[in-house]
Amino acid sequence: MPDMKITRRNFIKVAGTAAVGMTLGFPALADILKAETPLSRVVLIRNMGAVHPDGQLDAAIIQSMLDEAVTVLFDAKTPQAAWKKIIRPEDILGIKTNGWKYLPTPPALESAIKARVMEAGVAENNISIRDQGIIEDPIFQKATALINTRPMRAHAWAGVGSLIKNYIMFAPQPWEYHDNSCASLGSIWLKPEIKGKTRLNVLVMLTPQFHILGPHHFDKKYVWNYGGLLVGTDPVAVDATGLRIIQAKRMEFFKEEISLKPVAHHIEFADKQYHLGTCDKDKIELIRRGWTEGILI
Amino acid sequence: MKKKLNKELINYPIIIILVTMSVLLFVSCGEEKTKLDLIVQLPAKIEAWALVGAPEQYDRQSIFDYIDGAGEVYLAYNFRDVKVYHYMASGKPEITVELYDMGSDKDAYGIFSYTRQNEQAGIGNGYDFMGSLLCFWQGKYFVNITTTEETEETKGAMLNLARAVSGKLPSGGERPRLLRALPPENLDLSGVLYFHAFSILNNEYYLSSGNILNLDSAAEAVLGTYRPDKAILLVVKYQSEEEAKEARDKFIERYAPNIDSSGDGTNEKGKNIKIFLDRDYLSIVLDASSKSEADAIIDKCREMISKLE
Repeated sequence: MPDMKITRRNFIKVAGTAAVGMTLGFPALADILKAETPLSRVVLIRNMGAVHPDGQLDAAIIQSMLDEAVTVLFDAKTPQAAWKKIIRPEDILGIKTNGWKYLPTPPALESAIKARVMEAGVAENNISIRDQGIIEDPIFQKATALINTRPMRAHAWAGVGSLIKNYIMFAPQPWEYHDNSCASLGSIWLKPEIKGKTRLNVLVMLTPQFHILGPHHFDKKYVWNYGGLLVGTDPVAVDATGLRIIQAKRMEFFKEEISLKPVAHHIEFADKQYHLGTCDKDKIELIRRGWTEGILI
Repeated sequence: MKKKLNKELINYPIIIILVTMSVLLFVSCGEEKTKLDLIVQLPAKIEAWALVGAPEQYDRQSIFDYIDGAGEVYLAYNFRDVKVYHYMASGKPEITVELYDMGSDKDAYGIFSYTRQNEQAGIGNGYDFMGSLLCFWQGKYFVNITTTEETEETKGAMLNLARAVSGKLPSGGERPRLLRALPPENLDLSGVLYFHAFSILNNEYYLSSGNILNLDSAAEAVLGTYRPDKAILLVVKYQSEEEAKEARDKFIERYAPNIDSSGDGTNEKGKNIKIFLDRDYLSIVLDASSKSEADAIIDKCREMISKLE
């Protein structure tokens, strides 16, 4: 057991990656504790070429963005070294994606993650990439590690579709977490089969959706080429940063502050009630890389 | 032996029952089909768009397969089922028609009031066209027509489709009577909301993380916004006076403990609140810029409520 004399702020920082991760002695987490930095690190990487003018995504650029992001996030010299800090060859890995038809996790990003975890030594037959049906998936059932990735979008019941919300498919009855605008979503992360297993969160901000007109509404007018990925170990910090970008875009678009309907308070609940991480921007170390025009944050 | 065995296996009463049930089922399906056909036979073609395949259908159990968690919005309005029709045209964005059976006129209006931004007359009992979404209500039906990209062509097709769908639905439909509790002076009509669930209230005007008004599907509520300072009037009709009293006490305890015996208080924004209980009606003014504004809205509301019974 590592030294538990950590401050609350330390706790917030590492909780998203998982207390279990600490006990397993992952170098990345050990480094975090050693540095005694009180901040949750989030890397925002952007590339204007990631989304082509016709909307197609550039797989090579997305791979390079992910590589740079993890290298920075874990203070590593190479992407491979970074992945080895969070993934072991014997890991059984569930990559939780999102399959919403209008704005799914890009297959190019799924492939990029898979390529690097396989380089880290994880056998292909020990990797599952999935959204629906994860609780029946044998890999997810025995997973020792999880990677969570999805695009951020405005959502009619949770405010935004977030990384925290993305784990709702681990619940046999997802609607049990819908009350009060999905305020209790963070509690899903505390379920024994999930707690402590999430090694990385990648919030896709390539073409986020900042507004909707009704439930499951999608209009190309309300997405834009932001060309970004937000990467971190603290899902609350990553979501809170993504939400700030969405809110800034809404302000830019509407020329006035129009609140999301409903407010995305599940992110704050995940911090204050479930202690999964921090949504306080003063406790988030945001590292920006790449394209700066229109960064909004 | 074989023949004898077969004869013994034949149970004539059971056969008669099965035949009778089959006939009844056939007749019943026929009636159902006729009823369904009245509803679902949408135009095969609208301008360049052609109807593709049979409609998908989702009910209260399967709604999340179609809309994920956002299906809760419809459940909060006692939704029964939805039929989804897809219109395709080569090289053009898809147009989708969703026909929601909300079970009652009131709830069809309710979900419309939650969705629309500005109500217009001319399609159904009221519609709004927001570019990539056109919605209207008619009778117990709420209709959503959406596209993923707004173009000049989709605009025309969506309007024509809406008119065609409206023509297929039974006409009529009454707005909830409780709307009459909202005094019309200075009321922003585009912001009027009818609902039952606390979550819907919170989505429109965030009050609290807990259901501090004990709202449920049996309660009816309306919310209106008043010019010029955006004061809010909330009126809830409970099942009984007792329920209304309990809700008032809970609201005061959890949200506005500084409310005095006259029902006046302030919220954390420093805005004025006024609360008034009249039998099973609980009326609350929020965000009034002054006590006199709150008083004026409540006084008129009391008059309106007295005319409801």
